[in-house]
Amino acid sequence: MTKFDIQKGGAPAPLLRVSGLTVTVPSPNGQMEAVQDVSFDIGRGETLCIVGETASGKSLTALSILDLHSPGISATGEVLLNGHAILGLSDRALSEVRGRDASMVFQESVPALNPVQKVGTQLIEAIRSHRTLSLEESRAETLGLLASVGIRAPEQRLRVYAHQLSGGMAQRVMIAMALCTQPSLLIADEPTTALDVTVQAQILTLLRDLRARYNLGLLMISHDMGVVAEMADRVAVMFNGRIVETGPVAQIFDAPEHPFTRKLLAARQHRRRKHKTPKASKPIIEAKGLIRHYPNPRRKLFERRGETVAVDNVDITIGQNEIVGLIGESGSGKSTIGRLLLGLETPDAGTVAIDGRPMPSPRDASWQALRRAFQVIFQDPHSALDPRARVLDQVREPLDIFDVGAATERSAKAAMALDQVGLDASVHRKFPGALSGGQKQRVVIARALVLQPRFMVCDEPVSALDVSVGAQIIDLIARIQRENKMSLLIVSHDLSLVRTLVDRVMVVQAGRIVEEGETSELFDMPRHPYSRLLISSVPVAHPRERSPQRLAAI
Amino acid sequence: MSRLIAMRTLRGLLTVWGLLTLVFVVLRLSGDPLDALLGDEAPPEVVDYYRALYGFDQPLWRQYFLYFWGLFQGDWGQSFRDGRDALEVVVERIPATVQLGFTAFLFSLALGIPLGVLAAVYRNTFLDRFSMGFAVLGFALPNFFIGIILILIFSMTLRWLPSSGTGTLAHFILPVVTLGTAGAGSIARFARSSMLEVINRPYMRTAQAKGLRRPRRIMWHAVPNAAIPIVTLLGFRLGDMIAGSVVVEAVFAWPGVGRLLVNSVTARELAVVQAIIVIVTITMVTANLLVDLAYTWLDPRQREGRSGHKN
Repeated sequence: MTKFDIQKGGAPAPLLRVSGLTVTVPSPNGQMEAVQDVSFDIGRGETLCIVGETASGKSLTALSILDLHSPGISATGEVLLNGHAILGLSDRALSEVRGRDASMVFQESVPALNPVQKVGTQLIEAIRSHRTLSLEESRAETLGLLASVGIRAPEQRLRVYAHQLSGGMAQRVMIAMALCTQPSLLIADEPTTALDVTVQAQILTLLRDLRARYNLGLLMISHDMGVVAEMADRVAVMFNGRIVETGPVAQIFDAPEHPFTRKLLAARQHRRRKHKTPKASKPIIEAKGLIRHYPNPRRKLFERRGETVAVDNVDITIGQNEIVGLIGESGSGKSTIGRLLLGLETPDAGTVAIDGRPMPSPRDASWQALRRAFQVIFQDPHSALDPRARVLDQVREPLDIFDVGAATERSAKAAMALDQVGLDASVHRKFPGALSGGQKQRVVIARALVLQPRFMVCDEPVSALDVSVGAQIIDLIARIQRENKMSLLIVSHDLSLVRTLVDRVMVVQAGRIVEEGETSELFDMPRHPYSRLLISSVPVAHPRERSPQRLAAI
Repeated sequence: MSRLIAMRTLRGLLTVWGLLTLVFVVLRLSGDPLDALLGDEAPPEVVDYYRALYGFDQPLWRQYFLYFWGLFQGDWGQSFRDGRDALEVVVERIPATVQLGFTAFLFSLALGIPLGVLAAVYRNTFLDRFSMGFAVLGFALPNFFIGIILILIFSMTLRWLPSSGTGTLAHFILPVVTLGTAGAGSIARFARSSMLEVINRPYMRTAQAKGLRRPRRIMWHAVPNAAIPIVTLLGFRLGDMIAGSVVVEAVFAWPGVGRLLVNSVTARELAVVQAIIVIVTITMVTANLLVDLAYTWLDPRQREGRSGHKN
């Protein structure tokens, strides 16, 4: 399996050597060098993490190693994989190398599997494209691999389709598929970004085990310094298409040199909020015994519809000026709780009281007032804005709807709201398409703010943003809450965000609140086993905190 | 699945009823069938005799009721000209139309899908532009025009192929090409766009990263996924085939349902037109049901009801 070429100098060539890699992509202003002069080595058993933000060129770098670029994108420079020069090979020659010398795992695991082929078919196809095994042997090999990536009942899994797998399960299948051809290098492009924090911890553990077992070289692409702290031996920091800093992981964390590296590290350590001791103020929202279920789709004509319980007997109280966090995994029902409190959905049982009065229904006169006082900030700023309306008009629209003041006054108010979120007049006439993700989220916040709400739900407010941008948005939300005196419900799976921002935390599991407490108390001493699991799954803050025991518990 | 079939059958029956009602009323409003049958100079007694015989002296609602009452008993009415059962007149023409339509359908698939796939794979090359040019020409030119041009070239000038009638395999060629070209054009364009849609999907990159060669990636991973939307189009194509056959059968003197329909409308053969409408509608409803079933067969995600609510 080892095919170390001996170079002229006598030193063995590393598993992977990238030198002077430049990737050119077409852009509206002609060809653009999205990756410039990137060089690095990876040896067997070694993990290099390339860390950077959106459009830093880190994914393009990863794709260059097996020349997986879309047509129109071209890579130049040198990529030596097991001694083979990769760039410039024909599709036929590349198909020999791909999978055999290096395999790749992608961020989105379910879409990375062919939706119309059974999982088993795809695994066996990968094996048989590189190894001369009979169908039976391939099947046996596949079963063994699925078991080794932690999939229970692998025989049954061979017969399922991608959409029947959870994200974590699909990622395990992808890893099995990457390894079934016995490569010496595994390239993982943000392999855990789309996963819940507990599943992320499992996948990271799995990757570490497999790396040790097969003596794999591992190239990991990530935007998350926590993942880097968990996994990397060496780190390369990419910024604007260049590697701006590279070194052993401890050095990067302890003595970062480049300002961008420092910014990335700082984004993880927000200023801790001074947590107030909850006053016995009159609550703005008091919900009791909330239950919400959704009917399952009917499969047969006269089948009785089953139901999925999204929210199961939840009590929530939110005080004036209080920031409450809801944490839990995707599908736990935390977003549904947010919608129930806003009155956007009606509970099947239980009551929501606003200022001690029952939640109005859309027919009541007080409904309009409620809609004005309660606002929401969504996860994805890209789809939360109308692409065909100018920024100022979108921020002014709520004022138009509620007929607040004269027309000129509304524009002035909208401009003020934009100013408060740190956007000046230069964006007023722009369309959302011309803004960055962070700017868009600021517009979304301004739009919610312009009505001077008393209560806001922030549903995953930063998870669609880059880490450093997300940190700014978190600071912004905290400042706005202070200045405008309102109550917030932060719904998030990002525990570090919740920890820095909120006064009180509730842990949601399968529609139930399993634990509730003051933020620092709950994070330091979680009592419920699920809270403990959730909190221990968060990647470590520094590589020295890594320990096999910590993850073995997960 | 059974729910789907039950719903579709019910909806299909409603469609047949609605269309039949429309045709029934429109045909009777648009002229007196006896004028066409007997001519202008028939004596009034004769006209009255036939009017009573066929029940045209009855009020419209009664005729309508009697017609549906007859349908439920298997009586489709009669052809005025020869007094035969209307259904029988239609059914004897069906084989010719089915032969022509089905062959043309296969021809348009065999031509359209490879053209579309190749155009997508070799996007923005000469091949792409050529096949898309052909596709636009195919569905932009009206059937009768293509038919006449083909007759001009292959029958009149080159004298290779017969221009009308049935009998030998050679008789098939011109009508099939005429009827199939338009279909091939739209299938090619649709196949191209749905291939382009899937060709940059993440699973295609996975297939590439696994080390599969391009032909296998296209045939095993892109085409089966691209086939799903194409199947929808095929259901519609069948309707176009029937509509097209009206013209093509007239141009090539093909003894099928299409020509019967044209003749029957001119001759105000009410019962025959109505029978054709019923049969065509049933064919269309069945075709659409088959398309939906093919969907579930092609796309495993359709097999269980759409998986529910995601948070």
